[in-house]
Amino acid sequence: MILAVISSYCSIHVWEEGKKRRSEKKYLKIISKELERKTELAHLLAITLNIREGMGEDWAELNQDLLHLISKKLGTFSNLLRFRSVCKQWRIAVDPADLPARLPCLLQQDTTLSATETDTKTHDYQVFSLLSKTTSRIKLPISHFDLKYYHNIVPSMGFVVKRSFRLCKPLFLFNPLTGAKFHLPFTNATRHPSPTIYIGLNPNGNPRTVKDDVHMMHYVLDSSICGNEEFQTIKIWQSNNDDIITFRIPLESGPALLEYYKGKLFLNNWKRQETSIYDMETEAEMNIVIPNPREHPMLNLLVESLGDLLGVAISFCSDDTCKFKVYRLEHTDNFEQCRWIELKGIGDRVLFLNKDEQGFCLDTSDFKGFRGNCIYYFNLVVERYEDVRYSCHHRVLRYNMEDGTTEELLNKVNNAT
Amino acid sequence: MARSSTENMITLMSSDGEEFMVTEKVARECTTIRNMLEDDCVITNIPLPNVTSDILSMVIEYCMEHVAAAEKAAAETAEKGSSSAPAAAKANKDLEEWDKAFMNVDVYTLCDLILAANYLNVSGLLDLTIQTAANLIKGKSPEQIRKTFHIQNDLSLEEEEKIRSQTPWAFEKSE
Repeated sequence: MILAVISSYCSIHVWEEGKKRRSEKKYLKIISKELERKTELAHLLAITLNIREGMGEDWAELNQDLLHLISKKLGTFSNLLRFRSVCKQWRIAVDPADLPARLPCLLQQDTTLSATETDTKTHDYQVFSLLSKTTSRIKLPISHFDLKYYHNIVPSMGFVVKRSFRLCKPLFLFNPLTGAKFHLPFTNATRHPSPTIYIGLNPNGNPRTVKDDVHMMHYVLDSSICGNEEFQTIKIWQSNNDDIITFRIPLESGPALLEYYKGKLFLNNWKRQETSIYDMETEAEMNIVIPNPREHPMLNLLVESLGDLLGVAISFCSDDTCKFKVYRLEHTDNFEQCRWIELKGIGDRVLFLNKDEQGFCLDTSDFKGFRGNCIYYFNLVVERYEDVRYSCHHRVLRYNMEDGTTEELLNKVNNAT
Repeated sequence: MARSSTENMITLMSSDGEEFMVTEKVARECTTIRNMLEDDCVITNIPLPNVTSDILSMVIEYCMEHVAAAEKAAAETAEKGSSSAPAAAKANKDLEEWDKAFMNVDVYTLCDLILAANYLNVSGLLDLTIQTAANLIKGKSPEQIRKTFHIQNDLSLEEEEKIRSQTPWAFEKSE
């Protein structure tokens, strides 16, 4: 009965004051003081007040899932990083390993500064956010020679690979945006040609941390001959259980196209124009061969995309732009029957491709600001100046699947910003 | 069509005991309630111990507006045989304007609305409130964000310094 009295107080007050919850609370506190003499009542009132406070008026205490939802709408890196700096609760709502995969950006060395500073400990880089189209400067303790690519695009996880030119030095992953470092169980095995490292995401999980979901692939280009065929070895490190799986695949002259999809490793052989499948569990090749699409026998990329495996065929145009055809792998659960189906469009997805090497895919419903049904790709432009020196930068282009047009988003990084 | 008089009415009861009579159609906008109704179709009185009357009245206001807009669009389509694109675009714009005006609330109410939209599973309202919160955060420094949302800074000086030194460029200026 006492409770009923209190709640009718609330109701009446709510009725009068509408949405002004603050003053209502103050009012309740006044009532509480008046009633303090009656301990029983005060106790009950305290319970009511507690329930109201428990309604989460406090933004700092908002639950993690909801904070995570908010963080996903922030758009730019810097907004997200400032979000993380508000308080502890907000900080843990956003995993730093989450950032770059969700918010793609282009990282390249700042060539506007002269190369005479190479002996200093930090090096200047530019970070171009594909979402906000803004450029930021960043200093990193790694030189661009240490990065996997000389002109580096960071496609997944936001980690780049630091390597040493000396033999048998450990390799590690480095996240330029958070400063996180992660040692790899591989060493630089060969001096020349250098090993290629691939970072893939585990499609079965949301990439929260490098420890849980990264798969590393390491080609050891030292070939071995078995019978008449030459082989190369691929080592795949699964960071969640520290397992290293070794595959031997036929040696090819070009870079091998590899993608991890549904627990299997897909390898496209460009000479034979077909894709073979390796089982990660049994560590053996499956007896399945998928021929490339007949009308486009050359696939340039395999991309795992939100539960589908896509094959991308690129035609290079004379003006340095590209046209793309995208195929989806249609398959039975055990992959016994597979074929490539051409897609007219990719719907709400947006693909980011580092031509010839690797790509990743995002869903625009998670990332407002990117145009769906588009492919973002990058062209390296090398310019010579002062006769002897070279500068290079990336062009960022967007191909529209709907009408087949290409739009330029960035040519020269604007140094003023 | 005078169906509204025969339409099922549902009573929603807020945490502070206030009762709200709404049509079943409006109540069904909340996925949580829709699931309850589908599990047990004779239920007519639903207590919502996690939502106060002032917030519940706002949620209902939102649902009613969106149901009315959808009904209006459907009626127009039925009348003309096909929906005219400009009219539909205008209706969409009107609803957006309404949403925008609806979001003119203080941060405490916004926080409660987020929680209520999440609890009642009103996806449109959750989207709207989350986006509103994100817009309030964008372009602000951590200190400005704390001020806006009345948040105490519980990070130690060392932690703050660490964040700042790792990513100095994020703190240089607001965009």
